[in-house]
Amino acid sequence: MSRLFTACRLLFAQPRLGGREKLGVLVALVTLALLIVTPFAASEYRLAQLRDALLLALLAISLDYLWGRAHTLVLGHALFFGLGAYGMAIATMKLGLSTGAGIVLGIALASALATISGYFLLFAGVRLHFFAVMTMAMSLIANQVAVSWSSVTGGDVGILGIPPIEFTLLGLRYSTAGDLESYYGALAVATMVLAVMWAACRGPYGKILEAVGTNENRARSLGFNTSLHLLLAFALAAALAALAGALFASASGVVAPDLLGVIVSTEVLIWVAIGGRGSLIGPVIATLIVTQASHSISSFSTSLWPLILGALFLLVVFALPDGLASLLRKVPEFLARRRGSAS
Amino acid sequence: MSARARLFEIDGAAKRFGGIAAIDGVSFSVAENELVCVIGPNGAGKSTLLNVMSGTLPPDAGTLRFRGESILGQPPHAFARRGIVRKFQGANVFPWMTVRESLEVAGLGVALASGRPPPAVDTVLATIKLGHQANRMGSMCSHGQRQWLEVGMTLMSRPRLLLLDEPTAGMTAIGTAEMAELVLALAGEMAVVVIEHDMSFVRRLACRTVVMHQGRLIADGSFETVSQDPRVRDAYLGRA
Repeated sequence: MSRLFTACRLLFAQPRLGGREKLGVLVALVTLALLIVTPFAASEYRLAQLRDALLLALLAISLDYLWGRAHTLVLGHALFFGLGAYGMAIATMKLGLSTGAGIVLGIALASALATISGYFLLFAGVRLHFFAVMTMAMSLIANQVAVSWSSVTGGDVGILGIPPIEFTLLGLRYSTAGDLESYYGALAVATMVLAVMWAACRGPYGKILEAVGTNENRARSLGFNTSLHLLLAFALAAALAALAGALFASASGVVAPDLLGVIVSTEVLIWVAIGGRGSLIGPVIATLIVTQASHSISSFSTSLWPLILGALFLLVVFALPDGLASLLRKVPEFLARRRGSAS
Repeated sequence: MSARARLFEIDGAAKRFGGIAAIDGVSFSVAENELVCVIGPNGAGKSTLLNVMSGTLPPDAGTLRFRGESILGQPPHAFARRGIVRKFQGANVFPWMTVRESLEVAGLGVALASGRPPPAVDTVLATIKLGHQANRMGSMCSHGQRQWLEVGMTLMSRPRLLLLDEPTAGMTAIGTAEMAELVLALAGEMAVVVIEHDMSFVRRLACRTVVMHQGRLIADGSFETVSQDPRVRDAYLGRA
């Protein structure tokens, strides 16, 4: 027990806030404040879109943890999002269980699949693009299963009528049936997950993931069981993606095979790349901006949006390869240079 | 071999890459706190020997024992947790971490497994003389600084057997002399095996020297003794 305590103390020790981190926290707090007041200005339709975007931001956080922190690219991350969503749908609509059981089932399915597949892949030394392609293949297989196994998954149509989350806490009844409750619930979960992941990754644990991801041989020869670290990160990211999927299914009331597919996997990659890998807050903001832009532009031209998204992605790759979050470093550096040259 | 307790033993180790025997029936042992240099011409099998000793490469044949216990087949992280820690050939550090962060992380691998906190970073920074570069990124350090940093990272793991693969490669004469001083100081606290090409460095260490040639161990003794050995001279200079 004391060894576990020592390990946690060593892993999650909190260093002092650095200058760039303070700026990041400020950006996160301003974003949170804007999101808190948004319901006073936004329509119900726009609020529902933002709620979905917040739940998709959870998916982006989970991918950023894996890709940005552990440097492990996955091309089929929607697999776990979809499993969470189908777990919720099957538990509530097929098995007659509660939404709480649906969340647990979704997370259990996704983390079990990630643990089993990850064990065989990571402990066999499968890394980099080989690992990424394997996850894409798993996602395609899951998509096909969801289409074909219609007695359980509802086939192409999916499962409709998934109930909202309802519970009573401290005598207060909470239900996501209302737009406002649903929105603030999504905002609370996204904020909590972001805060916990940021606190966990900003100290030694984040550095270990970086060491394992960037120089595995060196890390292994220093006593790190690198395959185990990557497996735990993969399973945790899968669980987090499944949580996002389960909440998304309950919020939207429907699941379909698309949720497991390549398009969602690609979109989340783009959000993380645009936001800035490894920054956590960057992908959240990018998800919110890109999904809202997608809705606005698609409302007058559905064919225009994919072109704009592709152009935006290329622009970021060429102009800001470390994503929007790198502006937190570049803007102060630019201002300091200008002040230096002016004086 | 001194009368001190045996720390590490390698017996009949062989490793082949296709048709080439990189090491072939190598046997020797290292005692507690002993300093051993492994020398030999290019392609003699020195780095493969170090890879086998650190668990990076499993041998095709032979046995490995640490404090009398077989460690054959264990993964590299298990070797490190037992105290067998290596420095790679060329500077192998974490490029996107500062010197201080690299040392902090380096200490955690063994500390998490043992529950024993790692050494103080500032002490190791002073040992490797990089205190003034503590906030410099690994990728921004000079080659010599990265060599020192990697040695520092190994020290953060509290090694019992430190394996150094060419620790002075690319270093200045002053840096080489300082590294010799450090290695001699460390040898009082832990066993050290050094693979080196720089004969002036090996002479300065004046320790037991093992000579390899074409995957085999051809001489084992003091530096003065092995340097007079005709087989060693033949290996380095070729037969007239």
